[in-house]
Amino acid sequence: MKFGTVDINPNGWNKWTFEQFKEFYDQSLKGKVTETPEEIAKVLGVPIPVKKKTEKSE
Amino acid sequence: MKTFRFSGNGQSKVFLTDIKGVIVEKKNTAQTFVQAKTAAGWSTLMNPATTAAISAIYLDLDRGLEPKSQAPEMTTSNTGFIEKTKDFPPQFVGNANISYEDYQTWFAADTQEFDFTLVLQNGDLISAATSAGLQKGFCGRLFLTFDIPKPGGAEKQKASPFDIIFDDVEEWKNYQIIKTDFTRKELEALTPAGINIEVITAYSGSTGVVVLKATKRATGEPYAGFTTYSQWEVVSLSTDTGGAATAIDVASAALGIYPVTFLNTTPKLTGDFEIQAVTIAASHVTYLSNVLNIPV
Repeated sequence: MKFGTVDINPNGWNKWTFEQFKEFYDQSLKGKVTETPEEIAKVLGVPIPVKKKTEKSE
Repeated sequence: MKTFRFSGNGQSKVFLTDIKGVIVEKKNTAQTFVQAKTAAGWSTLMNPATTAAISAIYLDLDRGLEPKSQAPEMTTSNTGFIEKTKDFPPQFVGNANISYEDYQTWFAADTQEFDFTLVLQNGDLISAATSAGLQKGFCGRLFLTFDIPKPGGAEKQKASPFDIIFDDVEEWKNYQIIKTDFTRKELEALTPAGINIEVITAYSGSTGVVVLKATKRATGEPYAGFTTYSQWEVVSLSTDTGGAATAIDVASAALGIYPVTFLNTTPKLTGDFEIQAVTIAASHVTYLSNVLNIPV
C-alpha cells in the first residue's frame, strides 16, 4: 500500500495500538508521506483512540 | 537389474558429447521424464512463482570439467587370479563459468548433499531414474574451494571450482540419456539473474530500519526493481519468533538504495536475521539476491 514514497505491508496492523503506530510513523514515515498518522492508521486498520466526551469545554 | 542380451551395434560410432553444465537440485527432487525433456519442466524447478518453490539451478561448466573418477578396483589374489572387486561412483571438478560474486553465494552450500543432473553440450541430459520411473539427479556431495585469487593463465580460469562426488554407483549403472528439446542456453536463460544486496546503514533497534543497497552482481550497476516490501523476504531468524518487512521507502530506488523496516509484528527484531530479495514477473522468479545476514 503506497503512501508517498513508502510502500507499507497492509497486514497485521489491527494488533497495533495507536501509540505504537504513532511511534512507527514518527521514526519511519515522517517527512516521506503527506498523510497524517490518523489517516494512514485508518487505512491500515489500526485502532484510533476516540476522545471521551465526558468533559465539555465551555 | 537389467537382463543382458546381445543387442547389436549401430552403424554410427559417435561419442557422447561433453558435459558442459550441471543442474544442481535439492535432494530427491523428481519429475517425469516427459517434463525433464522440456524447458517448461525445468522452469517449474528453476524459476517458479515463489522463492520457496525454487529447487534447482543451472551451473554453466564452460570453463572446463576435469574427471577425477577412480578406476574400478582390480584385485589379484594370492593364486594369481585377477578380477574386479569394487566399483566407484564418478567424481569430477567442474569449473563454473560464473563470477566470483556468484561463487560466493555458494559458500554456504559447501559439503552439502544435492542431486545433480548433468547437461551435455547439445542440451541433452544424463540423469538417474527413481524406482517409480521418475527423472532424478544423481545423489552427490558438493565441495567448494576457499582460496586466494589465481595470478593468471589457465589457473585463473579455474577460479570457481565445484568438486562433485557422487555417492551411489548403483544410480550410475542405470543412467539415462534424456534427449531434450532445449539447448543449454535456454537453461541458462531460465536461471534468475543474480543481484547483490548489502547493508549501507545498520539495523536500527529503535526504528527497525536497515538501509540496503541492491546492485547487479559483479557489475555494481544499481538495481531499481525491489520497490515493494514483499520483495524483501526474511529467510531465517536467530532469536525472534517472527519477522517480516513492514515498509519500504523507495525514494532512492533508482540508485538501488532501499530503507526497509523489518519488525517482529510490532516490536523491533532483537537478533540477527537473514534476508533475500526477489523480483517475480509473470509468475516467474526473474531476479534473485544473495542471502544477507543483518547484524542486530
